[in-house]
This record gives sequence, C-alpha cells and structure tokens, in this order.
Amino acid sequence: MEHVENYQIKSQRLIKASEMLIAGNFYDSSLHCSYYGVLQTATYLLLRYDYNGFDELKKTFAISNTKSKGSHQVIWSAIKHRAKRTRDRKALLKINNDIITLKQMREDADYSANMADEDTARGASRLAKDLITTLEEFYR
Amino acid sequence: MSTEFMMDQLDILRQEFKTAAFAYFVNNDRSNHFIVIDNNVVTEEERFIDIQFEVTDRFYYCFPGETLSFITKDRLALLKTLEEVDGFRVSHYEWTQLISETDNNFEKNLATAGDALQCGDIKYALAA
Repeated sequence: MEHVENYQIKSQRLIKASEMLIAGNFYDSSLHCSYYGVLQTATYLLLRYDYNGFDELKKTFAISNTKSKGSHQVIWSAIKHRAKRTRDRKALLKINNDIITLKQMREDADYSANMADEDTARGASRLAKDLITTLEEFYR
Repeated sequence: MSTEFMMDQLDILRQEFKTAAFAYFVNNDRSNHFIVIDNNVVTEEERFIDIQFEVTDRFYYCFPGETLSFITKDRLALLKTLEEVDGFRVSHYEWTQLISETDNNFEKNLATAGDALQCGDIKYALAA
C-alpha cells in the first residue's frame, strides 16, 4: 500500500520551493514547481478518496480514449470527472480553465526558449495556491 | 479542425455577448486553445457560464486529446508563447460609444464606420 499522504507532503514542498526559487530569481524553475505542486495535490486527493492506486486511475481514464494519454492528462481527466459529479458548474469551469493555464505556463517555462519573468512566476504561484485550495474544497 | 471549431464558437460568443470582446489564441502545437475575454462582468453572467459550459463540453467530446480554456486578459499576459489566431475586436457596446462620443461629425463617422466594418478586423486596442 502506497503512502498517499506523501503526495501531499511533496505538494507542500513544491509550493514552498516555488516561493524560494522566486526569491532567488529562478523564475522558470519556480513555474515548474508551481505546476507540479498542484499535480501532486490532485494525485493525493484522487488516490486518498477515489482510486485504489495509479493502476486503477489509469485503467479508468486511459482505455476509453483511442489516443494514449500521459499521466498528467489522466490525473486532470480524473479531477474533472470528480468535479462534474459535484454539479458545481462554476467550480468545474474554474478548475478546467486554471489547470490548462498553469499547464501552458509550465510548458512555456520548460519547453520554450523564453525566459520567465518575476511577474509570471508570481502569477503562477498564486494560481497554483488558489487551485490547490479549490481542489481541497472539492473533497471536504 | 479544432481551430475551425473554435472560430465558429468565437462567432457565437461575439453575437451573444455584445458588451464584451473576445480573442482566440493557441499554443505552438495547436493542442491548447484559449478564448480570451476582456470583460470581467460578463464572465460572471449565468448565460455566459451556460455557453462556456456547452462549448467546453462539446470541445472535449470532439477533440479529447486537446484542451480549451477561457481566460481573462490579465491571465493572457502570463502566457508568453501563444499564437494569436483571431484578435480582439471592438464590441458593439464600445462601437456605439465611439460613435456617440464623436457625434458632432456624424457623416464623417459613418464613413469611418463603413470602412472599418468592411475590413472586419478592427483590433480592440485601436478603440481603447
């Protein structure tokens, strides 16, 4: 049995790391940590409350699609599926919109030649913390 | 194909919400699509939430391997590598404001309006 709580600890560490990296002017790296901080919280919540391990999660959200899905997309699909069940449409849209925005920011930071600036890194950090709060509220 | 879908949705949004302006951006591999809205009041309207929900649902049904996000203009500033597919246009509300503010030269305004409407691609920034 996996210690799923460790995903939550990792998430907290990543968010803390994103703040420390901003303070050290490592903005691209900070963006990376902000995104992964949210991903780890999502993983924790899914495995703690909804699914018995990654295999079950992957089976549920990967087989129905003809395109192969990466692990990130599997997690976000599962989160959106969970959010749909709550019938809170505003929150579902917010989660969808914010996750994709943060994901794109991470891709900008990791895969483009552009260097992130402080405003962008701080924006990502705020977005990540906000998303983590929204996700946790779904499971209360 | 998803770009064509997005352009259709953009037309619907522009017709439905005339007090707002919309733009469409996409990432470099055309897998992440962004509809940008300039009006924070409209984003809170129930009708806008309904349409946003319908568009998003339809998009994921048609293009399961891609993503769609509605964002505000301030969020767009955080995304550095997106390509503009269809930029902001003057909304109906702003257009009528523009005309009424300079109503002392009505004929000239009409001529300007005609030229601009034929172009069909008036950038939001020009009206500001």
